Order: sequence, then C-alpha cells, then structure tokens
Amino acid sequence: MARELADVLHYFLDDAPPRAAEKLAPVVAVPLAGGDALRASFVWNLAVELARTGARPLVAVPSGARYADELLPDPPLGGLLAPEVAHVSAEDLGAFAGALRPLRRRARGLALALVPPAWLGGTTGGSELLAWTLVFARPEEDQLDAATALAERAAAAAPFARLGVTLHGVGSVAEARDAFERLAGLARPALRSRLWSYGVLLDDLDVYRGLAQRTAVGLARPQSRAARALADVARLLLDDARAGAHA
Amino acid sequence: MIARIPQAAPERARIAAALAELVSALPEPLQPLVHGVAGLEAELDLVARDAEGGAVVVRVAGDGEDLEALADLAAQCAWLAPRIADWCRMAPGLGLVPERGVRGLLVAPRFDPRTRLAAATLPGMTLARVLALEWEGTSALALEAVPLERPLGGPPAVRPRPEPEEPASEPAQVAEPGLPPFRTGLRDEDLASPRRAAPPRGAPPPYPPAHHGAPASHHGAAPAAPRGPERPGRGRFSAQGDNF
Repeated sequence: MARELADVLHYFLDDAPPRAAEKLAPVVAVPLAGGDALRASFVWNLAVELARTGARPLVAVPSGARYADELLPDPPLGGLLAPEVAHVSAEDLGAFAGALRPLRRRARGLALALVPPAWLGGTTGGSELLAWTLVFARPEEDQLDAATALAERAAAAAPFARLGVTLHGVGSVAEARDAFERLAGLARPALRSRLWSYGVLLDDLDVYRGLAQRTAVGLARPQSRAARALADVARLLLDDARAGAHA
Repeated sequence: MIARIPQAAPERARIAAALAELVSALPEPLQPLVHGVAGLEAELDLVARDAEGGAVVVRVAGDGEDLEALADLAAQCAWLAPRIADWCRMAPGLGLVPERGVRGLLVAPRFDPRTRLAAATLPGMTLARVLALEWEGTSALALEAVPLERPLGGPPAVRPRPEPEEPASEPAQVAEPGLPPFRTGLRDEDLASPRRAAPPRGAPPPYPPAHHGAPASHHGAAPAAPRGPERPGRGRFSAQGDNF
C-alpha cells in the first residue's frame, strides 16, 4: 500500500526538528504524613515566602492524602502572594508525578509536592519526583533517626536524589548545626554525600497562631523570627533551584 | 591577522608548558600559584587562585584523554579541599580563602560529549578548550571556555553561595571531613528569644519566647504581678497583649 509523504518524510531528514525544551519548574518533594499539621504548615509558609521573592510557586497535594485541612487553599491575606495549591488526583507516586508535570509548566521558581511516606517504597514509578527531596527533622535522637530513615527510603526510591534536610525545634544555630551533623553521621556514607542542609525553621508561637488562624506567618508577621527563618530556607531552596536552571 | 590552525591538536607537553600564561589570559584570569605539587597519587599540573581567593586545580588532558582526566581532576579537587586551610597557614602569601573552596579547570584540545555532560553535573567544574592560533607567522595557544549545559530534569548542581550581607555572629565552622556543611543565613540572634537581652527603656514589651511549639508566656502591656522564673512550656498565654 502506498504511503503518504508525511509517513516517510523522516527518512529524508537528517534530524528531527529541535523541540523547545519544556520549561518545568523544579519540584521539591516533601514526604509528609497526613496528620502532620505543623510541617504541612511549614510547606505552605515556605511557598508564601517563595511568592514573596517573586516566584510563582505551586504546592501540589495528592487528593487522597489528608493534607487539605492543614494547608490554606484560600488565604485571607496576601492575594497575589497566595501560592497555588493544586489538589492532584493520584493514588501512587507514578500517577502523582505524571499529573504534576503539566502543573509544573505554569509554576515559576519552584513547586513543592507533598508525598505520603507510604509512597516512597512503591514500585509505581515516579522516582523523578523524588530527585530533590526535602525532609524535616527535629533534634531529638528518635526524630533524627526517623528523618534519616525517611531520607534512606527516598534515596532507595530515587538513587540520584538530592536529599535536603531542614531542622526545626531548635533554639540556636549551633544546636541546628549539631543536629544536622548528627543526622549526617547517622546516614550511610552513600547517603551522606547526597545530603544538603536547608537551614532551620522555628516552630514558635507565630507558626502555631498562623496554623490556627489560617494565615501565613510571612504575611501576618513578616518581621517575626519565624518569618525570617522561613525566608532563609526559601532563599536556600530558590537559590539552588536557580543554580539548576538550565541554560 | 590571527587564524586558527586546522592541524593536529597541540600536545599535552606544550599545553602544560604554557599553562600559567594561558590561565592568566582567561576572561576571568587566574593567578598561577604552584606547578607540579603532589596531589593524590599524582601531581597537580597547576594550582591557581581566582579573583575571590578560591583555589583552582588546573589539569591538562591530551587529545582523547579528557574523560579520564575529568575523573582525576574531580578526585584531586576533593583531595585538596580539606587541605586548603593548612596551605593557608603554611603559606598565607598564597592569598587563598579556604571558605571559597576548590574548583577544577580541565584544559584539553577537545572534549568528548560525555566529558561535557559529566562536568556539567560536577559542582565547580569548568572546561576550557585549547586553541592553536597562528599570529604573524608564529603559532600560539589560547584558551576558550566551554559552555556547559546542565542536563534537564536532574537535581540542581550547587554553585558557590554569595556571602550573606551581614557577617554571621558565629565564626564560620567547618563541617567534619565527609559531612555535608550546615547552611543557614540566620544568626543566633535571629532564633533566640529577644527576652534574653534587656529591652531599652520605653521599648515595647518583648515578643514571647518559643519553647519548641508550646505556647509560652507573654508579657502584656499592663504591668504584670511579680512572679518567679518561668519554666519552659509552662508559661501563660494571653491574646490581649501588644503582640496580637
């Protein structure tokens, strides 16, 4: 049967016409248990801080997880600075990563994706979503153990992942540094080389008040210590996202 | 008139002999410091200093040796990084700034695509191509920086972070060898409760301290009755104070 020219044209062309590279915002996966309101609040507040720097961040939430109550879909303050929260219908990591892809095109700067920890050990694909993973950790020994275990699981799911750690629940920079180094010491050498520090956050009264009142710390109390810490972590994230911006 | 010579790639020995002059003539010139110093199981062709005091290990690769040389250069940079502070103590005249770290510059006549891609994923790694030029009847060498394109979709590589605008309150601490460095732009004053310092006369009441999530006591605007020392997490809370 004769074929159309369009069907065979590629035989006569040296190369396929170059496709424009997809402009996908980098995504930071945050493994987070469903009831962890404080850390979900951190994610939301970090997104607000990213928006304050001029980014157009996206917070992606799998609809099956119970995060919605902790995040703020429609903050009362900040209008333009309110990050977009996308409730993505997905039942596993692979589906989540796929559904997130078109959303990343419209984000600018960074996307934050909440990932149920149970998805880290799955075999459903989507490991690219974990290529940059952020874990929250407190300085207590059992909490550092838990954070290390979480990072190990992310590393197992995504062998080349960059694993970020943000400390909270500390009272000084020195305590945060000590906790981070203890956590790094707990990690296997192969994991340790992939750990990156992403600063320290305060879980003080402002954060809890924001959680209760559904306001972002950076908007309600931008000069507070909690807001300064959030801005610092957001800056670290955004700087690294920009450093990875592809020419 | 300057013309590029379309001939065989310049030999490694010739490049090495001209290396100091070549790196000095880069658009961002490097200051050559030491040639042939012992590195890890091999000699370093050149250690130079950039404009900010960072150490730059310069490695010459002959034609077709670039991929292997890149691995060697990455290893030499990792080997040198924890030794820079010792170098500075022994030879402060070198002008190196340990905090600026160590980066690598691989110099070769041409680069395999695998070398370019691998270099793009290595923090602080740069490539420069050696060009053989003909000028007024003589042959000369020049370096041309090779732009590196980062692969799409991978985790971001790390570039040196700009210094914070204000100096940190604590002296810079270097992580133990093998441990990733802790990063923050905050100082202890940014985290500590302002109540630790006495407020100036007439200043508004301090903000309540944090005890890792537990509601803390709060000084309202009204004079408070004398009370004993507070225990963490057991303070009082009021929604009527100045801070609300």
